[in-house]
Amino acid sequence: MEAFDYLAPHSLLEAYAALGNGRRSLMLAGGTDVIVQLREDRRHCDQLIDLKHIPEMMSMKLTPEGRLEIGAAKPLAEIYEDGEIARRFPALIDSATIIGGTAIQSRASFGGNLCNASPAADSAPALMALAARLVIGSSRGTREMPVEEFFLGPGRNALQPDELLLQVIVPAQPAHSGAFYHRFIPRNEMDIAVASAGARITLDAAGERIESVRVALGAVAATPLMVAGANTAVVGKPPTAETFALAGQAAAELATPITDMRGSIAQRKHLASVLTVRALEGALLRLRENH
Amino acid sequence: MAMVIVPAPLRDLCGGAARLDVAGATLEELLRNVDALCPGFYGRVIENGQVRPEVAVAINGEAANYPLFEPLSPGSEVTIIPAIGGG
Amino acid sequence: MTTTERSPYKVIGTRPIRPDGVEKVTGKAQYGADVRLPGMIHGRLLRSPHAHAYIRRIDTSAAEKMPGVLAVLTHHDFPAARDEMQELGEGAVNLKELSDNILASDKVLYRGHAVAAVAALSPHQAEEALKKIVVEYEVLPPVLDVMDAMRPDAPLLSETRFTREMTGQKSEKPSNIASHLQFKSGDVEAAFAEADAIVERDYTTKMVHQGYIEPHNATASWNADGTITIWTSTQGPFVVRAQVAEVLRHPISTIRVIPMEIGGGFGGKIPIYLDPVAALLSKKSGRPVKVLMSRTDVFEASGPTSGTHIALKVGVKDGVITAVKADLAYEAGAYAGSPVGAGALMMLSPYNIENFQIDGYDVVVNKPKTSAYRAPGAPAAAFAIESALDELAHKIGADPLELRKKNTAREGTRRVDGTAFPRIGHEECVDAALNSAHYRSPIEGPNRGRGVASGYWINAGMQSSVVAAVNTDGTVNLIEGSTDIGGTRASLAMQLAETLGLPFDVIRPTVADTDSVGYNDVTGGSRTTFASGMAVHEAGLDIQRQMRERAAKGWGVAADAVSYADGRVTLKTDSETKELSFAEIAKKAASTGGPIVGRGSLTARGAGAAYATHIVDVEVDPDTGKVTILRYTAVQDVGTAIHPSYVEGQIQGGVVQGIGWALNEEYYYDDDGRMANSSYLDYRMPTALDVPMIDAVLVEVPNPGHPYGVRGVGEVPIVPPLAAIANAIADATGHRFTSLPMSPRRVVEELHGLS
Repeated sequence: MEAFDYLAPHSLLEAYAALGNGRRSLMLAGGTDVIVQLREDRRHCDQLIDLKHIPEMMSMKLTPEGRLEIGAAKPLAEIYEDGEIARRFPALIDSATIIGGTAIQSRASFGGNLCNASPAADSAPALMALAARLVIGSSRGTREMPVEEFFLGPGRNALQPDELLLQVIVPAQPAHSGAFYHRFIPRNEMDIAVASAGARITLDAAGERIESVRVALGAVAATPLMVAGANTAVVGKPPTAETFALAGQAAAELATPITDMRGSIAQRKHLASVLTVRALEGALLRLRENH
Repeated sequence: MAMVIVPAPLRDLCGGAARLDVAGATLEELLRNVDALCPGFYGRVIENGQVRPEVAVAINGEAANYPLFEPLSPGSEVTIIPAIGGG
Repeated sequence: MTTTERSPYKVIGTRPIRPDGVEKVTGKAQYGADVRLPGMIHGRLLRSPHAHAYIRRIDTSAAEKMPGVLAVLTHHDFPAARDEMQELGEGAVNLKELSDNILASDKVLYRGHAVAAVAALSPHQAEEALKKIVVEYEVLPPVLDVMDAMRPDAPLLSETRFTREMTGQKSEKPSNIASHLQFKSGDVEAAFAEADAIVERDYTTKMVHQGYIEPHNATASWNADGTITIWTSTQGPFVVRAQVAEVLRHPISTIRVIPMEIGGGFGGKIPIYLDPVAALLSKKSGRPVKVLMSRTDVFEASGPTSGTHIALKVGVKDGVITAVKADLAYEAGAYAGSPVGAGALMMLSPYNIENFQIDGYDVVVNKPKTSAYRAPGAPAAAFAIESALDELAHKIGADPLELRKKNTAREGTRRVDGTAFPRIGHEECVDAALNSAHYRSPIEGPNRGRGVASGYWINAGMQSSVVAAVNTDGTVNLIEGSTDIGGTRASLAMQLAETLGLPFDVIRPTVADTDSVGYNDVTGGSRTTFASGMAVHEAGLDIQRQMRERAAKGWGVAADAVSYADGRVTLKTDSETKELSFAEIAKKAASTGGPIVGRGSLTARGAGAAYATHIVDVEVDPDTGKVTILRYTAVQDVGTAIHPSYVEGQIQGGVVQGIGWALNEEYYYDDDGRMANSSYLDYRMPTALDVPMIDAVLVEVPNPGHPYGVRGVGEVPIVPPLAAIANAIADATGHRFTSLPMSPRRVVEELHGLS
């Protein structure tokens, strides 16, 4: 590991100034990825900018309308330990509780998990299914984008060199909807997704027809993947096993996985379908339990 | 008389015999006597006064680091096996 | 649970808290990485990025000028090694290969092969300096799989390696097959011709690692007087001493090895990797040097066990296994020495089989040199034979355990090498499995299945030496030289307490360094509780004798007039009974002849072999291929369980390693010979959440070769799980898996015809 400076700005302005000082910067939120990467010589920097002293980065707010705003460096444990958030956004909790173990979760953040831009990031498909948006800031101002547009490739995200990811915004969820996230791992813990799927299902008021679904996949392409075809395949149909199978088929068709030590192309395409169906089943069950 | 169980690869030295009854009060004596019947046998087991590193001598089923003066009793069974390591 | 009847013992069979327990759970125990010495600096190794290459040039000049660097090392700093075999405490070692594996000379033979080392004031400075070392490689094509390596046109790891036969013959051409061995009896072809049913299959297993938590480490101080002190994590400090002495050509008496606490070994902490490097870096820098491996280093450059290919054919007639033909090919890694001999010797040992031919091939490949791993060689062989027997049982409509019982080896049955078994406990294990609550319960529900398998391990005796010094307060310091991996401080102290008729907690065991106790072979081969236990018993008898002599002298009688029992010396005459307690005699030692010290020093003979029979229930998710272990029962003949909790722990630990081997663990290589999963994230060992409580059934058939009936227990529990789980998966899915690991990927691809 090379020597680097440690900076701990107390405001966004200070952080933007540090970002603009011409040195190679890396951001430190929970540090559960970046510290390891630095130690193993997989990333390099002149300065590590700790974001945890910036109030906006550590904030969390649930608006009266049901919209959730999470500071990008907010530790996962503080999110899932909030009972109201857990009740309203169980799919978010599905992912927050499986990123690392308890010790990791007390430090790691959604922001860090997203910026790391792993195709297998557990936060991504869950947030995509929930139609979450990201707030990005720089000395030039702020901008917003849907989560699914944030990923450019393995380890590459849409941030410009002078930008910081500030907030994750999960909008109020539609009526008659339920969401679910899960992944497939060979073990029961301490593992990384071979493939994963998040899904949200919204039914009509009668609960008989599908109004829409949002299906997102992890670890089956160079980035987390939104499966638009799943919605097309099922909209207007009853929420049955046959219908879900169509969504699964759409997911498998869209997946362009690789073969590596974690899984094969054939296995991952197959899992894309299986996990999509099971995620929709899980989402439907939650929807039913809430009514 | 002790019984020598001839390992499969060395049976050609012994006219195909799988077992031999041979006299010998010690391991050394026994192996010398086997060598008289099966020329070359001794050298396949012993080198520089010690059991060759790639093989082990088992007496009555137990492989150990036997000296050449290891006493044998009538009815002892002696064989040669590949050296084995344990974890 | 145990099936013991009323125990004749007072201490043996109880479950006291281990003497090292408090220090370990409070974090106070000192492991190798905890060593800190005044002036100590840090060493790191440069490792080959190539799996197979000639080293044409190494230039360390830039590294030597880096900040903080005090020493740089290559193989040129080692004395020239002799190309000869030498017995160094754990099997024979070729000295040149031993030296080349520590720092490569002319060729790197696997990715991660060490080529140079740096010592600097901080570990980071050492790492940065490594980047400045220039190594010119001439890259060669690697050969990674045992079957590929055996092909006549395979790239050769060494031009001077020829296939050796036991007859002394050598192959005409150089070969990656280092040696061939054979066991043969009866008429195999005739027996196959008459068989009612035959199963013929090829079985493969992948290279797997022991997976100890603690990476290898060594700290060395080359002292001004030419002596060397080494602090290290090892299964055998005396083997470290012998091997370091040989590699550095330094007198053995000037090397002192201090074994630190050991965070797991399973056979992998027998060879040396870092110790001579730390010693020479210390010599060059004049400072104590600590060298640590990273987890990736451990995977890439320590000693995992072989990937294997076994072609097997088994025939039965009237329920009797009549014929076996087996070809076993084991990867040795970079240098010769796979455990194929053990695999070939042991695969049929649970059974009585008349006609067989077993051929074994020891094959070098461009992977790390394999080391021992818990019952080395036996699990892969058992995977093959026990899978085949399961298929045969189904073919002939027999219960798989009944088939094993009908064909069981017993006292007098001849092993494949021709020797007759003494008293053994396989049949008792099968009977206990047949009668177990587990086997008698139904297995119900979709996608569920049950499998059984047996296993055998030979166990070792070898050399042990202990000293027991009696203190004036009646306690005893037990000085032993076997490093404590599986609770042997407890199991040895318990045997001394039993011998002396004292309570467990008056015995204070200490693991000493190589200057402080007689020679001890490694903690390996399931030998320590057995062999060091015999030495402890001998030391206890020595103390008994001295206690009797002292008491007799005081009473003015001959020593043989008094007796020792239950921690007391007693003189019984017609008129009176005189008694002195152990503590009373100990207190008066100064005035009765000085310190009382017992010693036990021996080569242990009579290690009884170990047998086990396992039962497992699994559920297979047909959509994902994931296998869940629902229930696991391991029946084992343990001789006498000295400390039943630690015996159960050994059995449970072995089973868990077997589950990992069966389901997920493998060295996953890319085409260039790079291990792609060299971390605990991607090398998927089971966690506590992946295994159920494993029910250990202790069958106690005392070993007549040991004063307390001890048999080694540590290794055999890893032998049956691979096949037991494959058999359970076959029962659950109707698909027979003959290649490990049976990972979700392989299972789902097979069930859905995906590949």
